[in-house]
Amino acid sequence: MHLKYFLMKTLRALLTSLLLVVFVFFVLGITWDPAQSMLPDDATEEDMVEFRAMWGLDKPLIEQFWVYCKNFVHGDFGQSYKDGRDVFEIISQRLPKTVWLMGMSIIFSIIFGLPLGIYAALHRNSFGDRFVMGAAVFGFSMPNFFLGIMFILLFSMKLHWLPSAGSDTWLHLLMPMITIGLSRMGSYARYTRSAMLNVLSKQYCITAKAKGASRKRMVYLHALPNAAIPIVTVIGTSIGHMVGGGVVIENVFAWPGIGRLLVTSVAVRDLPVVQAIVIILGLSMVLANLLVDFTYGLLDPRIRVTAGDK
Amino acid sequence: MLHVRNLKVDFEVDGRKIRILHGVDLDLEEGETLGLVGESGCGKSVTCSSILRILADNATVTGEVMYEGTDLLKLPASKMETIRGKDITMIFQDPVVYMNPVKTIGNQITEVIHLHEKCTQEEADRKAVALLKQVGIPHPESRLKYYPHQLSGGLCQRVMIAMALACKPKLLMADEPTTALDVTVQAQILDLLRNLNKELGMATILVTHDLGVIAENVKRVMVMYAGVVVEEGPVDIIFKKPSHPYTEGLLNSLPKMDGQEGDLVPIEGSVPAPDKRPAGCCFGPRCKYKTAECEKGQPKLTVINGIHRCACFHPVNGTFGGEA
Repeated sequence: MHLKYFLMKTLRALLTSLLLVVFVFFVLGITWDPAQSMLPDDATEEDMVEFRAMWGLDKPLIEQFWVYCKNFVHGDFGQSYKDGRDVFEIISQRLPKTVWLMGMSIIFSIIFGLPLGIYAALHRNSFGDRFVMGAAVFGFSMPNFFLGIMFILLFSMKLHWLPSAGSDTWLHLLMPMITIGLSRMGSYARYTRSAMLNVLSKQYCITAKAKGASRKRMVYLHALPNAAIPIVTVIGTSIGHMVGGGVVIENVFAWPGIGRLLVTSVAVRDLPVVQAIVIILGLSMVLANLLVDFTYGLLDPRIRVTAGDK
Repeated sequence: MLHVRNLKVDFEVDGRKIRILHGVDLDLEEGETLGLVGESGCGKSVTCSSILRILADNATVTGEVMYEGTDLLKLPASKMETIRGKDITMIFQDPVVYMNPVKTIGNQITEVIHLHEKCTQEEADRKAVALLKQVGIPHPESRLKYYPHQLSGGLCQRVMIAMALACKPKLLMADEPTTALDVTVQAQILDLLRNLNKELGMATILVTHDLGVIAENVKRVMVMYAGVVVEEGPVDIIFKKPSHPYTEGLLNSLPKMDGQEGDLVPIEGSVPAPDKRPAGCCFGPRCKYKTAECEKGQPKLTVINGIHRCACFHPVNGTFGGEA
């Protein structure tokens, strides 16, 4: 029964991924003629024909797609039009950097956002609650490129404490991580607060109290597992968004990740790289959703059973 | 065993204090069964919850709740936790929403045991199985792994009862334990409670708005109205010769079981909202015997006969059950 739930979700995710690849390939293939964008303005018709023949662009789109899929399965995303390097190789150099930055900023926002949200819920309407919630609104309303630039001004230009570009050390990580983390932290805190308030008003918390459970036990063992379901949804979707959402911040801090690669590749119209990155961004979203579904299944017995029976 | 004196409860809503209980007195001896009856919103549940101190944070409780010589209202929170679930337990109206949906019932029962007794998980599991058997749940071993949503309302209430009995309490408060259940299941649950009460010798407070349930299950009854006890005494006396006009009205609104035909007589009006109480007797505006005296103040509970007490300036002497 449980296995069926997880299997169904996985199959659905695979199907979505397939649709994603098809969509990205055809949309980019139809709208984008690499021969025109890669070759200089004075290129002749023969040059273009030769260029298209070289990259297999003269074949029908369906055939190109077939070749693309075959290579895709073998982990071959083609070669960069710009310098002929293997796309897989380029991306595998950049992706870990992005995953590292995003992973750390998610951990940062969970570590601070969840406890702040729980604190605010437990001290509802107190000064602390209002302060936390005010700060949370500030955190996620502030555009993060602006925050990033302010940080650079203060910590790099004025105080000279932190480096403003690159990814070599922990110090390099600090500013981009906090810039992305702050806005996430704000929304995690708010969602955690409302989820906790909702759950704390449920009758099973009264039962826990009537059993002789301490307040701490009631909050962390009875309320929190129930509040975890909406919180996981928010964190999960933000994981999906983060891989793509780093595009701006990676450029502000010159972080050599996939977001920055995307911007430079679009600028030089390097189709295979752009294609691969867009697919990876989409896949990360699908994967994040799949993880959320799995976590639901683990957290909530009702979802596990009812969805598995269908 | 339990002596409640002048129990008052205020709820703070939007910065205003609203009084819900206006000085309730309640006495209960070991093994005794007491019924609390009244319309919705008259303070029955609040009385029980304030004895166990499980009201929400916006409630202030004053008065005295003497349980075996200690005032529960003065106990520090940690001491109170050792009494809840062990000495005094409570079951609720809608069992399904009172159970944690993400924990197995085995987990929820053994939690009470672990909270109050030192024992291993196997011992606790064995106790849980015995408890489920005691409350009449078939195949108790396999049910431990079930989640509340996989059980019917009746079974959930049985599980709640098992949880409440886990540490052999001296007092069980049942707050409308059958209101949310099917009629056929209601009778089974009430039978179960009555048998357990006899078997285990624990005192029981049964809260209900159903006079039929009171007549069958308890010996002594307290009738509450708008946060005040208006009449108190043995069930057989009160049901035959009610003294308070409200009790009389409640009984009049029931169908007669002795074959006499006649219209049911409702009590006109409704319970006043806690912040719109009338001056004088709280039942005044709905009372057909009201006089000028009734507007002077809330009458005190006074003895009518033996342990039969009533709070009314003009106790009626209605007669029910055949002679009328």
